Amino acid sequence: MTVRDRTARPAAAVLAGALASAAALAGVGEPAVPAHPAQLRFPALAFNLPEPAGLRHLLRHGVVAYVAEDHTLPLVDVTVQARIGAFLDPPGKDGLAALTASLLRHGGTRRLDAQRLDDALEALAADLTVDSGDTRSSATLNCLSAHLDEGLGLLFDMLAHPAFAADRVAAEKRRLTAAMATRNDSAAEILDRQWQWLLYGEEHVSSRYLTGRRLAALERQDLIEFHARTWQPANFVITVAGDVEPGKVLARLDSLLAAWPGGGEPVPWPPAPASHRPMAGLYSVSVPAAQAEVAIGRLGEAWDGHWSDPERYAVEVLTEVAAGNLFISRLGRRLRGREGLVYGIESTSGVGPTWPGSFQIRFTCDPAKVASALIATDEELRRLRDEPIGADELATAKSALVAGLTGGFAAPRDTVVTFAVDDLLGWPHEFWRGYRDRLQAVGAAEVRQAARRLLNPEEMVTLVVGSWPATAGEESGRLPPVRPLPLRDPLSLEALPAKPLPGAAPAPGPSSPRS
Amino acid sequence: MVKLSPRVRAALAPTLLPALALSLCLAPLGAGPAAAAAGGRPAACAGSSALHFGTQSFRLANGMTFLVVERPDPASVAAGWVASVGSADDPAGATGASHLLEHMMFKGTHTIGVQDPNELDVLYGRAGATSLNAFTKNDLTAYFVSVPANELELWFWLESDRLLAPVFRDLEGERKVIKQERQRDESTPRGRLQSQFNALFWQAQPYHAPIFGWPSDLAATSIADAEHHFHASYTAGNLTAVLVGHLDRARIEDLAHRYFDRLPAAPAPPRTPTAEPEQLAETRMNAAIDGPAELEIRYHSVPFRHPDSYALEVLAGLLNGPNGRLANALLAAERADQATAEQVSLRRAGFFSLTARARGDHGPEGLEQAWYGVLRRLQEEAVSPAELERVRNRLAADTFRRLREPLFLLVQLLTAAGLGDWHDLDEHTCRVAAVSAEDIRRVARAYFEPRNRTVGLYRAAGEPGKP
Repeated sequence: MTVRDRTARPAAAVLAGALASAAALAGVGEPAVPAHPAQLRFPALAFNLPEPAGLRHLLRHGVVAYVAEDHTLPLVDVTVQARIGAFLDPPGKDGLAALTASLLRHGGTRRLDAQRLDDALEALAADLTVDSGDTRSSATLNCLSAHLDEGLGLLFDMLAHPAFAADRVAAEKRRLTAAMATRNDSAAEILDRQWQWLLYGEEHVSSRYLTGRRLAALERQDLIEFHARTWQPANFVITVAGDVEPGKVLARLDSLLAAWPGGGEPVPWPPAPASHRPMAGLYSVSVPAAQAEVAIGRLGEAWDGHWSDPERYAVEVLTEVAAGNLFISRLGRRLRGREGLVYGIESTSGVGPTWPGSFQIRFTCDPAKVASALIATDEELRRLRDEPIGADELATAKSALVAGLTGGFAAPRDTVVTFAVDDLLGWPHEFWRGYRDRLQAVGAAEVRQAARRLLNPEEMVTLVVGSWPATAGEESGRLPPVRPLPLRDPLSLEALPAKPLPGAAPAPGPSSPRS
Repeated sequence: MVKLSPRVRAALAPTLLPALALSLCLAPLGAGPAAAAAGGRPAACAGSSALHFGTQSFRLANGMTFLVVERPDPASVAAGWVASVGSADDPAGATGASHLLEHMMFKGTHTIGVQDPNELDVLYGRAGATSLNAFTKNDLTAYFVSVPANELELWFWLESDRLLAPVFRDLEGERKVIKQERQRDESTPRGRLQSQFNALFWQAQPYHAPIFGWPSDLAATSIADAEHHFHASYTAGNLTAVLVGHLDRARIEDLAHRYFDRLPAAPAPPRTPTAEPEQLAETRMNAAIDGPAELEIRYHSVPFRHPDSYALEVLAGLLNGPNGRLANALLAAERADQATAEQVSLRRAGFFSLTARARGDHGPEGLEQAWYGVLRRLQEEAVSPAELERVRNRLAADTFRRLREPLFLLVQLLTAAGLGDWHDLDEHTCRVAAVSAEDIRRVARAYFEPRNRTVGLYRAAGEPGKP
């Protein structure tokens, strides 16, 4: 889980009477079926964001809970959202927040050892998970509504009284070591890490990946202390959605919190911003892989102070126009549709919590076609800087973004989590309420202005991971110089000595070396 | 804005699919009715729970069926249709035709796509529709999209138009896209060998050929072949449409008549009568792969809706999961880092599959022997009531979880309808709840004989110390 990028995937939409008015079209005497769909007329999609105030409740220790009923299925989702993450890792203890979260779930409780906790959950067919990211962690319970009481009991037993059993800590460390060993098996994973380092530097909180040495420095006592310091009601926002009676579940939560030993102290907030300045250019990591992974992009904006900035919305439209939809976006049409250079391509932009988010175009490509794909991308980005986008493109991008807004609020369980995360990160609910109006205010001129700033070629970072540039293809002469980056040892993340690629063979055969 | 994975019009191999059909009938969890005799219908499922699930159906005069499911999301409708035709129905010499046809169905009509080959995407995109996609499986081809609720009529317009008069443009371009799609599919260590293993398993059934088709057939298939396949198999009687959302039933019926009554009346096409003959001897495949050793064992079992398919599904449930028997026998012993069992119920036949990936330098043989040990216990000892209840609870809860997203629900209804009976979605939980310990032992003995299996051993080619 990561909350690095704040994305517009918003809260609950309530449509009033849109269907009823559409029936007007079927009037007598009108042609039964219009000759072209452009002749269809639709009522406006009227939707109201749910009011957070109606869902929000205050519990013991000042804990906020958002509760939403949804009786479609006999299920309940409960989440405990917490202002806990890698930003709280003490010096020399990188990975502590993540390891604590993992052992919270798998280390048993003082009452139930790990196996008995799993058995109890399994007997209820309940799912219980704990995730941890850079700025936020969460514990999630999903169970049948008939089992909610027992499920909540297990969730709070785990949160308040974890055992961090020594054998489970050792087993998790072994598992993580094994997982680290396969890190270089996937070109996409290599790209993700290297991209992070290029944009944020290796010291930033979001870039400090686990290594064998970092893992060895984490001990059971560290987990116990970290839990006691951070996993406290003072840092929680709780959400409940599903087949529940709000009054009952709130009373149950309150009594569980009452039994909690104290409310704890709030953690320091906000995390430090990033200080790294990325170096623009074309980088590559050479690994034998049938398909090359490619990313093009740059740092974006931090959330703080920018959520209402009109350019933010222009950037969203621009991102959508660039490669938001594989079949109708600029890059999708050209690289996949017309030139067959890539199978898939997408673009994303995000706003970071207290550090800049990023803008990224990402595709997977035959290594021999990387150069052509990069040149085509460059030409399309230049067109976005030099020419205004069409009215149709603008309207289509806005439709897609509005669909993202309503889709994100489609189910009550999405709504309550969105509001809870707003509270934790200190973001205003007003963002969602004003989203469509701010989006509609964006015109082609604003998009072009955003493109000139965001897509400045002097600031773009390009990274290719794959059998490249050994198989660079004929157009490689038109590219800027390639700066090779070393592959890292999967366990230490230290640079490995450069190794020649096995010729131009794209698929590693039986005799190819595996690092 | 973060995107979901890019849209991929996919050929789905059966083993990649979630359980084929699910249900919402609210059987008493963990306290299922007494075991029904094989072939019998448990009393709790009789008359069905269609009321609980809320699926309403109606049929047009031309034979096309509509299913409507009420869901509270006011902003969008998940809409789709399925043709009960898949790779198993591909004409001889044109394997892959169903999948190619699926791709060609996005190329427009006499009205759409004349100037812009992507006009279908453009029109849906401008309306704010999302998840426009389609997939081809062995027995069915399904097309779906999520449309804003106020623009649902656009779906009726565009989908009836492409069923009335599609125009297949840019065949060569799509051939290239399909080639890339196959390469991606084959990019896992075992991927390139999957077609061969699958062909080894099926002797006579048309499931024998890959969904993508044999490469030589794909290269040779013409526009005329695709048109012929379309007219022969996308007949009104072979189509089912599904709509999931906050819907007005009367208005849906009105739109269905206005737009889809235009399709000519025609029944579903006949299917090849070929049945899989009994397998008389074990078959084995020895392969070398790049990466840790893997194992796949397949047994011929039963098709969709066969009474034993539910017992086999529960049997797979006993094996899977963090506390399942495979975890205890293979994962805990550190022999494997991944092991999964699955009953795959297709229209004409079915199979039970076990796949496992070895840990470290372990070879596949040890995994194979460990699996036979797991199997022997299932054949000899009755499953305890507690273990059975745990698995049935888990299967029911997972069923509900998969029905939460309207698009997931849509895809499951399309799949069940495409396989021939959407009612399975209503009855599934009842059927699973009715499986007894004795049923488990009976199917474990009936379908897992050595001569009924095909074993694929994938040895790690790059292992140190090996040639």
